[in-house]
Amino acid sequence: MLIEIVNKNAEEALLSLIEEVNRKNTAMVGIYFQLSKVGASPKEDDIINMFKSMLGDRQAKVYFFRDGDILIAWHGAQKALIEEVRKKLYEQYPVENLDSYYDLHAQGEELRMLIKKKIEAIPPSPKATNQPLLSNTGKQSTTLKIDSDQIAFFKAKAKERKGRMKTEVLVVEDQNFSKQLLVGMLDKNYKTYGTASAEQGMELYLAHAPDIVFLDIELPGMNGHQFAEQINKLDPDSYIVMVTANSYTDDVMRAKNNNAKGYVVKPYSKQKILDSLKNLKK
Amino acid sequence: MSEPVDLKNLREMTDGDKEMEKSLFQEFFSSFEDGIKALKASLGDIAAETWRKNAHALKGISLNLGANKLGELCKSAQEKNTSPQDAKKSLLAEIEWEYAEVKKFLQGCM
Repeated sequence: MLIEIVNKNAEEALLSLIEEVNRKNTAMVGIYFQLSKVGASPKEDDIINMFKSMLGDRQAKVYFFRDGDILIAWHGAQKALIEEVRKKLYEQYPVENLDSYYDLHAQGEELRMLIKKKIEAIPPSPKATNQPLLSNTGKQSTTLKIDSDQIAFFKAKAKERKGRMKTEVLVVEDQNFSKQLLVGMLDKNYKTYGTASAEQGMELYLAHAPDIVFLDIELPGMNGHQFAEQINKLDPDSYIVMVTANSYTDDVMRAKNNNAKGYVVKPYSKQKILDSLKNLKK
Repeated sequence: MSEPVDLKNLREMTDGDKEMEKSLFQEFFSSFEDGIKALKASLGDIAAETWRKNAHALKGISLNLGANKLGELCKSAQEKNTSPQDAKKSLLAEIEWEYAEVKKFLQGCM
């Protein structure tokens, strides 16, 4: 099971997904569940457990919106599965008319308008300090802002690392095939988060303080080196392993300078990945 | 003649999980075909960096799959991103030919 939780800026993340679905013309369905109507706010683990058996190896994304609503999306459009997911959700939240079904390609525009309204309704956060996290250096420079709440939340999460029963892994890889391969392997024994962009990777890092990150270098927007550089500034205990199809000296040296703990050249092998995890525990 | 794909590495990672394998193959087809379209759209000099990025992405997924010859062709495309259009067209034809072999092989495994 490959469930990716999107719980920070989920609205914006979903807009990106709709854009991608339309660009690639892929089949993807989403069930939108208005839990804000009943004042419910499900926990990530509860949602994962609820869908574990029925989704099998499908790669699904669950968007937790700031108002309490959720949207679960996956590739393909199997009717039986849609009904099964709806049934399961209604067992948990037995209130009528809570859900809407969307074919993200055919009804992308309709969903996009709904999400935009959600974004407009979000009140500005008075606590946000908008500290720039990235300087404008490098070719693919991106300025990412994080707020003081996110930093405080991250620091508390990072303290929990030592007591964790299960190692938490973040995979940042923009190629779906490679991400699915790596997340699929790791997910059997580790709590694994996967994402295709450094920006979302940063959100996941701040939200979960993973023990180890497998990080691709060539990413859209902020690249892997820039991501590693910023994580290294934020978190002295970070453990980053670069994964890339390139073995250029410049990339290796830049990874070293950013305090990366390993450098795996594709193809991935089970042994190389397990070695990285063994080294983490030393 | 050797097979177009060596699945040993991938099968170690999936622990022989057939469903996961099938889903990965489908993802590979979808990603690779999108990548070919993107290469076709970036043959001109002005899009040399887009060509390089797409070829790099295709190289990565081919190598992770175990399609080594296809990976080598994509590597060559990545490195020749500033070559004349005719040279790129010819490389693209080789990539498409090899991809067809890989797809046929994988479909036979599903």
